[in-house]
Amino acid sequence: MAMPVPQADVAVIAHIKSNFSSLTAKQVQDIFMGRTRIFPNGKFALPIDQSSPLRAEFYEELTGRPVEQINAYWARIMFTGQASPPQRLPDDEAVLQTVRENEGAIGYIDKTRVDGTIRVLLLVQPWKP
Amino acid sequence: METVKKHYLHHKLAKTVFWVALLFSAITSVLFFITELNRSNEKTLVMLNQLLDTVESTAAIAAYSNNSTIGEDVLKGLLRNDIVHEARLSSTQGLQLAKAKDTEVPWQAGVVRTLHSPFGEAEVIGSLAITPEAQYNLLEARHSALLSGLNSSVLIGLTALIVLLIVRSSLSLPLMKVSNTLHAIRVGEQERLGPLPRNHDDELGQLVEDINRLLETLQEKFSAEHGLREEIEVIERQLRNIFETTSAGIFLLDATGRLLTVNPALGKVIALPHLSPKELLGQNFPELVFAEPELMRELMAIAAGRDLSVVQDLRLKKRGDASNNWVHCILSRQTDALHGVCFEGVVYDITDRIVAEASIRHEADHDSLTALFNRPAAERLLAQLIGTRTGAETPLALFMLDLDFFKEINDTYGHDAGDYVLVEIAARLKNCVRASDIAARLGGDEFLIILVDGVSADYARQIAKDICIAVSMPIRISPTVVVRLGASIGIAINGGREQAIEQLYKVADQAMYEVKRQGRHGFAMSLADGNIVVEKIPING
Repeated sequence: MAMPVPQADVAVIAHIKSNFSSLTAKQVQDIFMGRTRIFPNGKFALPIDQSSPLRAEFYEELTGRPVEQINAYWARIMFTGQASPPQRLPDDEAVLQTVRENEGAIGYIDKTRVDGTIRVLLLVQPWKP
Repeated sequence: METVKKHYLHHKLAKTVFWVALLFSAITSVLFFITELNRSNEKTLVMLNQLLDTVESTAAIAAYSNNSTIGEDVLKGLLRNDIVHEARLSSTQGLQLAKAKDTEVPWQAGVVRTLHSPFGEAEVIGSLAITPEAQYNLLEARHSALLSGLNSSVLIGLTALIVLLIVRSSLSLPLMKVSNTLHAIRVGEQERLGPLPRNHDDELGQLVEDINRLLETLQEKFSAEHGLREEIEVIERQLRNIFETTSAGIFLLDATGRLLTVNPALGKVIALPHLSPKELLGQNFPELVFAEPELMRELMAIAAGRDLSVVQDLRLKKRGDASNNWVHCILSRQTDALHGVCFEGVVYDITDRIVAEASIRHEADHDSLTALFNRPAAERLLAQLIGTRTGAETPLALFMLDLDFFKEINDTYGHDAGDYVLVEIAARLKNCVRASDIAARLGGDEFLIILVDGVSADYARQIAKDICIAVSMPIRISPTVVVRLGASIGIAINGGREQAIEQLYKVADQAMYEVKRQGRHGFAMSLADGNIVVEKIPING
């Protein structure tokens, strides 16, 4: 059984210089689930995952699926050797750091940790069927 | 007995049952096949959908992530199933995978499953299609149908065989026995069908009984008819014989009197022996045969009016050489289907009878010696004459005549001489009177002469005188003996008024005795005043 998750909004962030202001939830989902590796502007996208409890909230709110299914999905993909899941960092800080430094990077952090060094592309709402 | 190619009933039945069973079996097999094929198709569809259900999420992942390895794994997995012929996976991002078995199949409708994104149900990300293995359905269905067909064939065949055996033993064989026996029986024979011990209480037993009863009746009828026919043949032969050999003439006339049928004797009877029966046919019978055809026609008219036969003696036409001239004719009306009203008749020769009758009548009325009328005939004739007379008619005269000296001749020369004399005298008397007058011998030497019609006293006197002279002429009774007789005649005249016969006799008698008293040979007439005038005639020489 999933632990009750603290209801914190999740912000999807990118490099401050990225030349688009927002993404749809689906675009974010496609990038994080490995379906696409480019942004709508054609730039290479580097999704950054994290190991914190926020991860479960993020995926659940983004896809409407429990995080275990997301893990199983990646396990299946990885088994084929054709792709691998996004790189996983320990916490919001590390994500912020990486996003600040890489122009194509895209990650997610707690909304409260948002600052002016990055661009918020999407605020992930709790998933509504 | 002729050899007929027999078609046994149970063989026919067997053939029919076999073919019908075969037909039913085929029909049920086909129906079963079709049903089974449908069912199999449905089953296949269900199975395909189940397969799709199984692999759907994996296929969706493959389509979502454009991962061909996962996609091929899915397709391989699908093809491992017998019922899958081909599987195709395509994604909206350009992934196109297809795998198929190398079996030859006709195109078949498959099942297509639309794949949705594993993370957002609404998004369509590709499709997974499976085509079933048609051969599989067909084989499945064929197998089932074959089994069912075999099953039903065996069942039906077995049932047919049992039915056949039962029918053969309980119906066909007894029926064959009956049929064969019946076939060998000829109509009218004594033979009967044997009873069927196993069928005595069913329809076959009843059939045998009925047939036997029918045979019995038929035989009775047959023998009765046979006997009757023989009897009829005998009668017919007899009748034919009678018809051919009888001396009577038998004929059939149509309504106008033409001959339709004649027997051989007819020609002879009707005095036309030279005409054959064939030549007589079609001739007008009354005209051809009879002296008075109108009598025959009258007879036909009478016969036509009643049911009884009519008879008549008829005179034939006079033919030069024919001795027969009278026939007795019996005629009766017949109604013939062929000719309508016609007449059947018999004629036979009665000439001899007519002649005999005439001679008998002659003998009865005439004196056998002199051939003059005898007394009864004379008296009858006289009575008739008197009876039919009316007062206005001319008188008649009655002569009573007694021969003189006859007794002496008889005594002297014998009876033969007397008889001879009487015959001679009778001939002379006849010569003296008219043919219509009556001359009679009353007996012995007494004669009676009646002059009829238009007799005056003078005429009577003249005749009496002639008679006296004629009688007195000599008679040669033998070469050497000549005798002479005299006559005494008494005359009575019925003077136009009716007089009793006795009175006439009496008057004539008295007159005759007056002659005798006055010396014989003469005549006397009694006058109106009662006087009798005698005139004596001298005997010459």
